[in-house]
Amino acid sequence: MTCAIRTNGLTKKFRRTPVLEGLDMEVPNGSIYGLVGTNGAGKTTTIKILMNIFPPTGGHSEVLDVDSRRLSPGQFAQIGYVSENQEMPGWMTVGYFLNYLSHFYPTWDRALAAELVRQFQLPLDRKLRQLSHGMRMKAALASSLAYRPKLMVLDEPFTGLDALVRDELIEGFLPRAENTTIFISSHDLTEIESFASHIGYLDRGRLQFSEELDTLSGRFREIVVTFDAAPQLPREWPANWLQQEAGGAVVRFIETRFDQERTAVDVHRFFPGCRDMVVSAMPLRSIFVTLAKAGRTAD
Amino acid sequence: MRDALLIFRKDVRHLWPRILIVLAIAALEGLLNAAAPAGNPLQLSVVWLWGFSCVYLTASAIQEESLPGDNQYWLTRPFSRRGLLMAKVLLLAVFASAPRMVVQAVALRLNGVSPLRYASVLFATGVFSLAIGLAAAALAAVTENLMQFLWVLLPIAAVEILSLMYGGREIGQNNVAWIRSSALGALIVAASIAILIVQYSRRKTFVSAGILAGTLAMAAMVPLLVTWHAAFALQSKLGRAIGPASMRISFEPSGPAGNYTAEYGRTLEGIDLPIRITGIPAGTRAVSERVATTIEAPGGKTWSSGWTSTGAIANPNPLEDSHAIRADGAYRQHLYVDAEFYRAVKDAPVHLHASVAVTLLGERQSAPISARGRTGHLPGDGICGAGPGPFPSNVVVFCDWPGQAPARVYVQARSLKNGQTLESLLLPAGPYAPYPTDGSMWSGAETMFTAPPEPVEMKLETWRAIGHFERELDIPQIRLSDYAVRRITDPN
Repeated sequence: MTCAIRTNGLTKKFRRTPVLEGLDMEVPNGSIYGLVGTNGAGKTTTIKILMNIFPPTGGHSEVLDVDSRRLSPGQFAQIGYVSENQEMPGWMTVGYFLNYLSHFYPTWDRALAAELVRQFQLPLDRKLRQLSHGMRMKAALASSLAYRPKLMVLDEPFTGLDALVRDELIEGFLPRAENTTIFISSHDLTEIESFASHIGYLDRGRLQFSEELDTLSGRFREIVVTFDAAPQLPREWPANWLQQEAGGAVVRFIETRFDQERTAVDVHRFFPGCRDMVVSAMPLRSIFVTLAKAGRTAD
Repeated sequence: MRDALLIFRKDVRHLWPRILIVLAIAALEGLLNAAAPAGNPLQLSVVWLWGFSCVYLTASAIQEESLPGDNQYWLTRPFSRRGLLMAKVLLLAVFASAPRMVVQAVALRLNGVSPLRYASVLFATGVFSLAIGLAAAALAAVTENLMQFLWVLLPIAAVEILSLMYGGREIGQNNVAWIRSSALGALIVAASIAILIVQYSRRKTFVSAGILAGTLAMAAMVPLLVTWHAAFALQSKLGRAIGPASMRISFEPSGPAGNYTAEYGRTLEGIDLPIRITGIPAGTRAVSERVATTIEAPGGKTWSSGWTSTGAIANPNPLEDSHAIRADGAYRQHLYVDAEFYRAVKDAPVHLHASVAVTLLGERQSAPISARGRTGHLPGDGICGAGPGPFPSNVVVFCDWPGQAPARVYVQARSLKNGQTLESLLLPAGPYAPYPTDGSMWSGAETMFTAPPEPVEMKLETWRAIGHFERELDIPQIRLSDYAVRRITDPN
């Protein structure tokens, strides 16, 4: 098993509306894979198909080497799933909830559960419905980490949380997930960037790219070219130059396939009279915005 | 099984107030039955109340881990679906079916009746409880919460009530209605099991909702498909003895002239035919259930009544059960004909054919009962109570039997002062069901009559149905006006 999750031509339609269109994705074992995309891109649908909550309309998906449609209690005992809108049994106290679940997991580690409770400052005698959203997420996370799952699936876990709780969550689960593959969908690109090893970008049901974060960060650059006077702009820009802007003697664009030498050659080919070229690395958030805008412009 | 027990334990912990309600109502029913099953006006209400509480508990238990939806925490936990379903069935069996059976068994024992003798009836009440639970479980399995459950339940109840009202015109409250109830029950149980299997194995709520809708449509059709005659035909096949081939009904134009008067609607005209009945076996009596009349008039005019309870073979002795055929002899066949058709053909010679559905009663048993107060250990383990009625010299007698009441029960009151004897039929005259179809452990009947002069000795007489059959009465030529029933309000 080299991939914890693998999808092949996965499609999903709700009535006639396509939500996923031929999704091919691989999540390597041991990776922290961030699935990003705008609202309605199909992130939650993808996760729910992987968790056998929704049946796919077509294609195939495997989780821990098992067809996701055939996931059984045996596999779920090795998967932790936390979602922002998960309905929890509100009448249970945190303590009862953890104790109740512990019987279903052969690998449940009581000491680890106690440590998580302590670290997340979970009130054991408080009912789940009386907890704040942040505390509920912590309880869900604690109940999903205590059995040391092989795969953690997190669907928008940071939505609606303040920065402090977000940090607490990340600090809580990352050190305890060393041997765990983490598959996380989120809007919170700043957070994802801080720990993800792989990134997949989903746009309107299609995976636009899926690669290691370092590779991704390496190929996206903001380029600012300066001239002595307003330059002649090319009629057709290279396809890998996005968000082109020109103002006076400055031209700015995003290079999506950055290569020190090749990009410099390309710039000089398109702008023979350029005076200077400044190359800046981009945070994930800017890359995401660039891609999202490019997607909308393409419409 | 381990999963099932864990989930069961969790459900008990959360649902204990609802469980207590179900247990308390079952205990109340048992207490009422133990204290006085006979004439207990609360009995049926308590059964209904218990049914509602059982539905509430079942729906709550199923929706602890609701099946429709995609956000429930348990969907991604290692709960086996089979364990989940087993946990719910276990809850229903342990806290609904079993306690009710136990409480009923205790009530039987306290009434001096051996529960072992009525094990099949106790089992039937358990099955009834389980059937209610299964139906509630199926409905809860396709709804996300109790509010949604209620919103689905209410229109279903409305459709079923309408269908029963419409079906009631055809089949009505009668002795073979249990066949329709059983068919309906079997349909509901089968559909409930199908829905639960689909939901717990595949969570295909759309498919389950389709099964539910199909079942509702079929359930609405049951009263129309299981007609009275179809039910009676089945009942006659289930009877212990097919009617004696010797019994005959024949028209007897030379019989005693009828002086029968009645009051009835203007849309019908009554016909009172003198008939002779022969071949009633010794130790039995018969009652006519319904009649289907066809009249063919000259010129091809035809009228048919269909199977109707309007019309019966009447016993001319006013002091006896008017529908009982006690022995061979002269009787009257009452028929009611469409008034318009009657007016058109009344003086013409017509061909009249009547099919008469008859039940043969046997295994007569009788025992004295107290004219005031309670008498137990009666035939069929019956318990009767007697007391004064609302009017002077009125007597009310109410009786209960574990399981099904005898088909026909009479109270015979004889004045020790002047020897005058009176017979009164207890109503309802039992259905011919082999088990109670309303979920009760006891079924009752009562009567109110004007007692002969005191002191009075009273006797209870019970009859069992031993056969059901049809007989034909064919009159090739008859003039209807010769046998018309005079209305009480008609001028002489």
